[in-house]
Amino acid sequence: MKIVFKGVSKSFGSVVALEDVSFKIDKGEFVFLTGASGMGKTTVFKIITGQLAPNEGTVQVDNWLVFDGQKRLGGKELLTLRRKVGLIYQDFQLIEEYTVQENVGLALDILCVNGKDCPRQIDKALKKVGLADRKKAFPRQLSGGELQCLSLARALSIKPLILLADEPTGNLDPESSWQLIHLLDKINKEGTTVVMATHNFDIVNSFQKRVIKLVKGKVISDKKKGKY
Amino acid sequence: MKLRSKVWYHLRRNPHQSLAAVAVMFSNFLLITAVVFTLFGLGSVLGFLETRPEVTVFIKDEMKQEQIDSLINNLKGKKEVKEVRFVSKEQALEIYKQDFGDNPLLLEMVTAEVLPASIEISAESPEALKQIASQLSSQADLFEEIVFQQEVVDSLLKWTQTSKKVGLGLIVFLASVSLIVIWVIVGMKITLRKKEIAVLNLLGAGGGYIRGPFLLEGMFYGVVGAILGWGIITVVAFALKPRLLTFFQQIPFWPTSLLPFGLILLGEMFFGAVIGLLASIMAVRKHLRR
Repeated sequence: MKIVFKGVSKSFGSVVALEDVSFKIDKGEFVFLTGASGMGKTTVFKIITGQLAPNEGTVQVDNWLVFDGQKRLGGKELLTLRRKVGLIYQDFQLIEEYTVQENVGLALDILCVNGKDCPRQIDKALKKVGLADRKKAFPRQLSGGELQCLSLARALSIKPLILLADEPTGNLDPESSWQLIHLLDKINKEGTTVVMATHNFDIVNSFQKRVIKLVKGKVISDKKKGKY
Repeated sequence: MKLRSKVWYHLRRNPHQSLAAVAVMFSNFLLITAVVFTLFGLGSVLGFLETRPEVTVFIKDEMKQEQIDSLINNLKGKKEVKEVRFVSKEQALEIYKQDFGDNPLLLEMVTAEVLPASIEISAESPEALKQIASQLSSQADLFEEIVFQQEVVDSLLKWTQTSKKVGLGLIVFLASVSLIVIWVIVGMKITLRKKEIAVLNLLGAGGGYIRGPFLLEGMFYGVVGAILGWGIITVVAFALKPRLLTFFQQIPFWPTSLLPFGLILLGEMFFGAVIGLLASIMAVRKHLRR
């Protein structure tokens, strides 16, 4: 699943979030989106998932024209796109009243996965992130690292074509951060496109992956094996 | 997760709010059911009284039996006449004795000779009674008196109509209160679950997936409130049944079968569901704009 941004600009009143941003991410790539806080990384993700519409430019995600310069994707097509995109956030975005398995099951429920397949897919996703033995726990009973793994398991359960990770290590200790990054790398090697927004230069520098750097809403560098 | 489970989860998430919603719907339907039962009873009483012999013709002594029989046959031939009953002087005395049996002085003074024979006429409707009374008035010289309690019938009709209007007004008022309460409670629940709804949106949940449980939740409050309100009033009505039957005596105040109770329950459940659904739609439209 490819992502194409062409001349994308977005501003909130007088505040410019993105200015003439263009890039193309191919299927199966692992890309770091770097830059300090407030440089437009989250805005890029929100545009990809159709939460925000740009003011200018075109955005294409696989065959979906998310924004064509005038019209934004909506209705069932937008829902279908969102069901192909896995999302993980710095603040996890989990439902506190649901158990670990219910949080993962929610994404499958939305996809209307056959009830019989559901437990198997939940188990598979939880096993992948090492939470198979915490199925009945509630989010409040998990550590920061485990919460992010749960968030990742939920994203993986739907077998996403793209995984968008918005500052996933922001609330994690170094050890948990590295564990998570290795997991993301493993998922990428299995064929999923991974785009990770981060300002953790240790991780970016160590991994030697493609790095798109945003400063004040502009792409100032896009290198195949970049550094922070 | 099935929709049923989702609704149950919604109810459990904020049990106090759910309880408040059910309590309000219950108390409103308690009153609504009481009003419906009262109106139903009034309808039965009116229906009974409307068909009672309302025109009574007291016959002059000089009127011959052939003339009386001819008059009765003439009345029986009219389609608006429901029943014609002849009360002879002797029968009139029996009625008199029954009414004043506890006063020997009054009984001593009265014999069958002094009491007039009469014809009691009942009709299909109060309007028909007016017509019959007017026709009989044209032969007034044959009768001692024509008694037509028009005012009684009219005031009874008026009173019943007023009761119906007041009852319906009360039902509309209680339904509006229910609508507002469910609207507010469902709205509060949506507001409390904003974060969860945002997550569902990001996971690609459609409108039906997010809104469906809220709509069903409102319907649930309405239906449960209706069942509870109906249940309590029905139990009270059955507990009071012996007293009511004694009070109304020969008036068929109590229905002959349980069907009306069942129909009232079904009607109230439907009404409750509609109120709940409307209130939830209003809340969803206000708080879940896309």
